[in-house]
Amino acid sequence: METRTQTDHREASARTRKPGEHLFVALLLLVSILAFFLSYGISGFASISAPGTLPLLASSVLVASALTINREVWSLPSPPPDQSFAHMLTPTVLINFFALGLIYIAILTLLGFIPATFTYLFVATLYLHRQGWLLAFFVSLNSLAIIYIVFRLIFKVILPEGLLES
Amino acid sequence: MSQALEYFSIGWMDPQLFFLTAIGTFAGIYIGAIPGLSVTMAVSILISFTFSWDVNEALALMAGVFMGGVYGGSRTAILLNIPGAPSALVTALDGYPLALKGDAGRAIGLSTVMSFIGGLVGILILMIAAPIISNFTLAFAPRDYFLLAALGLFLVGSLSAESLSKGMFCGALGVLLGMVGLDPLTAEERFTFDTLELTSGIPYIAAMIGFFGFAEILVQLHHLDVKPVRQNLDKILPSLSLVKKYLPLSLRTSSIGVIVGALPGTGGDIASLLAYDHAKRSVKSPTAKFGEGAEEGLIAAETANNAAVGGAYIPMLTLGMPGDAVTAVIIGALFIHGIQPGPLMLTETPHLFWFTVGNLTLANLFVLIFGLTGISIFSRIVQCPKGILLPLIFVLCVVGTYAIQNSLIDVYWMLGCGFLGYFLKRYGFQVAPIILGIILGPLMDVSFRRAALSVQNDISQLLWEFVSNPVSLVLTSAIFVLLITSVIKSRQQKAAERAD
Repeated sequence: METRTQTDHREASARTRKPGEHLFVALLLLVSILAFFLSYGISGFASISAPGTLPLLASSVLVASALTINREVWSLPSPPPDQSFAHMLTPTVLINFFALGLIYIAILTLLGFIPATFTYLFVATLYLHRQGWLLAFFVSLNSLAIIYIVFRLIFKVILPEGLLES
Repeated sequence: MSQALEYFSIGWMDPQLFFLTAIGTFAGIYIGAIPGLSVTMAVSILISFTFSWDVNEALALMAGVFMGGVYGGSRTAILLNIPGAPSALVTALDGYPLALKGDAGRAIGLSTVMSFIGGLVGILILMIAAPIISNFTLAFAPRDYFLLAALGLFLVGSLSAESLSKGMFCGALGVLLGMVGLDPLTAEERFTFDTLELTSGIPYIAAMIGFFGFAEILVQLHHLDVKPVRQNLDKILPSLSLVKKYLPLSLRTSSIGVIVGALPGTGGDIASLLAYDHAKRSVKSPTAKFGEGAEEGLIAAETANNAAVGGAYIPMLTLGMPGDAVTAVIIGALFIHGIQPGPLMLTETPHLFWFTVGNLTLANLFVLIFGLTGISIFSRIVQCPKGILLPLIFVLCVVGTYAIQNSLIDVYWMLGCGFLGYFLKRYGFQVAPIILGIILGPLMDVSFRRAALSVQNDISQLLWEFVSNPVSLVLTSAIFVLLITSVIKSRQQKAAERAD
């Protein structure tokens, strides 16, 4: 059985560019250059104790290392044709999970912690685990109870209150 | 001497104090294990209801929470790759790969015993050499703090397994993220884009949960079909021969932990990082490659961060200066009880010094006892099907982030950091340097500018001070040696890859 570490090693040992990697590192370089100009905008080269000195130093390192990374990545062979960006980085399950997470945070402020969390856990478990709604129901109920007891009742953490709840 | 022993044993003999230390340590372990619940927060909350208690009772509870909390951070770092506290960041580097191999129980057992040893070394040094170490740390000028933080950042660069430039990029990115908000010296806005929400900066706990927790969830979604690794729970307690084997390393890394912990403003995070680097450089044949489940890496991190607890008490008890955020809160508690920690404490109130030492020793013992219980239940967490575990971890990430300051903005920060962290991880970047950069950035910034102000912004004078003072010279040399060896190693690695 292959573990995640082994998979990562296999991917690393292939030494080809990963799909979308060149665009990603180019984007990092652009962001680094932008950070450099923003850092310069804080106080320019006014003095070495100015608020912008360390940001300038850090963004210089950022630009220099981003340039090196770009040189390294662009010199690698292209990824094999069977590897696509969607398959390696944005599979459907990831997009759906991320969307579910965003919806959960959005409904937290509307429904409040308990109903929103139960709904999220139920739907997400049903989608990812695919072992029937009954199991998803009980797992969600138990998980919610444990989280509520630990955070709210024991550690007195304030949990998001929804518009309907308040 | 007999009087010191008498004060030392107060917490051990009084059933109420004994019980309070036990309950504090037990709670601390679980507070430390839950991302979003920090030891600093827990100790701050404790002040609100212990201010009317007797000072010994309040201190007993706080010492327990502090000691247990620092250890507890390793649990989720090992099992889920989500450090419960910044001091457990380095623990995750080798602890999590061990869990992926099915050795979570062994990793937790080893980290518990080594945390105990680290804690003990910290307390012993606190007991024997507190005044000497305090005087040594007083010799640290702002430039030395800057150099120490810079050394930490270079270390993170070398921790990045795949490429030095990727490590440097992440460290610098972390420093820049740490600069967001109001400048601590002039209150000038930096990278805020005139947005009110950005003036208080990016909460590093939210970033930590995002980069580690949420990013890891997204990575794990690729492995939904992979059956969870069965955890080997036969040998949780490390054998005596194993402890003996690692004793020299653990003593060395504990000493690093105490010294770094004793530096005001630093803590277990920098201590574990420096100790990890020491282990990486000094251990010639580790059990696995560092970053892929080396027991030596786990031991270095865990001994150092627990030893840093004893270290943090040194400047607090002898100089009245906090060693870290938690001791800053404890100083507040002492003030509430009318006690002024400082140079006169050892002569005027020796009972409090020795009581604290005794109490920390007791809390450390409870770390060992409570730490070795419940490991099999904890270890089974990673055996839970991912389809059930991942939504639950996501909810924990959301609640943990929200708990910091009851703000949904922080939750969105967590999501954003997690999303970026996911892409960085998939493209071979390490996210630990970003978090350490966020934590070390403000320390570097303030220290550097104070150093610059002390020489009236004269850059040549500042550079001269970097090499003319003994402490600064050691740190500057360490940075250069580290940088040169890292570049050479990186080039050798690339040459070897090309030869393949």
